[in-house]
Amino acid sequence: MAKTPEPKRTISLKPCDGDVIEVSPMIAKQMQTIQSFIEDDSFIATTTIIPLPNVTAFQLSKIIDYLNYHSNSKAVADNVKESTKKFDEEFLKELEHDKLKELLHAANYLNVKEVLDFLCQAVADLIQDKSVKFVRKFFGVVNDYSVEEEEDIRRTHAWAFEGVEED
Amino acid sequence: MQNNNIEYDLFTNLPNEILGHIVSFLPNESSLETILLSTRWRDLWNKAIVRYGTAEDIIAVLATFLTHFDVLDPLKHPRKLQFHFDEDTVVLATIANNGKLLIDFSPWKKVTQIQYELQFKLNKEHIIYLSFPSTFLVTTLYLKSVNYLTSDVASSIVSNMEHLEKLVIIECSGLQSLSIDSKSKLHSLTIIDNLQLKSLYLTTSKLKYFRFRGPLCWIWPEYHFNLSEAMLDFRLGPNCSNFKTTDFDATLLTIKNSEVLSLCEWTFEDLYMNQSQ
Repeated sequence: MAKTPEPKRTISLKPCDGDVIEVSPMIAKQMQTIQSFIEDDSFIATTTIIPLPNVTAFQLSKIIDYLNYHSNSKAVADNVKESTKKFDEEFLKELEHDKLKELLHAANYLNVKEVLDFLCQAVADLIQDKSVKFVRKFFGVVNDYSVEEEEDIRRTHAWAFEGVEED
Repeated sequence: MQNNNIEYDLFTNLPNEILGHIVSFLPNESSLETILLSTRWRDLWNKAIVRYGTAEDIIAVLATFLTHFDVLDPLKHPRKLQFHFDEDTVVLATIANNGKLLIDFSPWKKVTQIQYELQFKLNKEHIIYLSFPSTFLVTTLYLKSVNYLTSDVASSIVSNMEHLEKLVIIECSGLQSLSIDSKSKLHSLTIIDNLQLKSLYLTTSKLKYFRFRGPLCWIWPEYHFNLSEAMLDFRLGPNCSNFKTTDFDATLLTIKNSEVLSLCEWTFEDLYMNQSQ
């Protein structure tokens, strides 16, 4: 008896650099952008390769790593909190600021809520208690206030900053 | 520098929702500081809801506005409310972190100055409406530029804030008499630049911090209470010519045991030393 070949169970994603990366449907599902591809009628899982021109192989694999770890650890008991925390810390430690920002972009493009939340939290942790100058530099924000405008915003918000420590 | 350009593009390309998301993870006492980054961030923070109605609607509109504001995600809903009522009158309410609210009645058109009085009763038995939400408790209120046209509205707003701990009253022109009655929560009161103020009645037994700037007026502290910090700036002199040094005795009793007391020179020489002799 001839066995019908196992239907292909993974989704093929092609980052802008490097080779196609296969992910399980469960992981792909968490990426809203991919999910909308899959739901499209013309999508055939066996042959279609989803191109991701805005995401590098590095970013994609980082996101997949994160999702893999977290979806696996969810299935286990709740005493995994410690190791999850450790994983998250390690995950961020390997990322320089620039990489972190790029990854945020990729996560936003792929629309992965879990990773987005995690990265937004990481950015918030990095900029909190930092000076305006530092945060501008971090975000690459160009200060487009005129001197008068900046004075005005400080003056009209003096009441709101009362009791908040100066940086 | 090419690298800078890439960075610039990276963050300018991020949608506002992501910026809002990052802000939601910042501690709420410092998240507003991102308003200083650039005009884009300012515009995110300065989005305002505009509503029209009558003076009677104001409590309900304000209550809805406060209910919608999400302290944990402050860019999700505007923190400013612009309410137009009674033809040309506008009130601007702005929320800031830690239960702060600024209510600004600055008129858009020139208003004839007519004298008026304000009475704030911050005790539970006086609460008429119970529509202010429990999700956003106003503990600090800045009240700015009230005039005779808006005094009733201002009184009814303030009198509904039973959780008020700090009250700041700024630049209310025409305000002649102010009376504040709070027996439980109010511990900080700041009265600044209300140039026509002549009488101030304080029934505020829990008051710890009192700051006053403007012409010297009659101050009637109803009960004897001890302040821990008092700052009285009467640099502009007395508000009327028939002010006697004995008129200041009740205030002296209230301030003289303060841990920190700031007075300007003439007040110290003419009123404080006089009484001590």
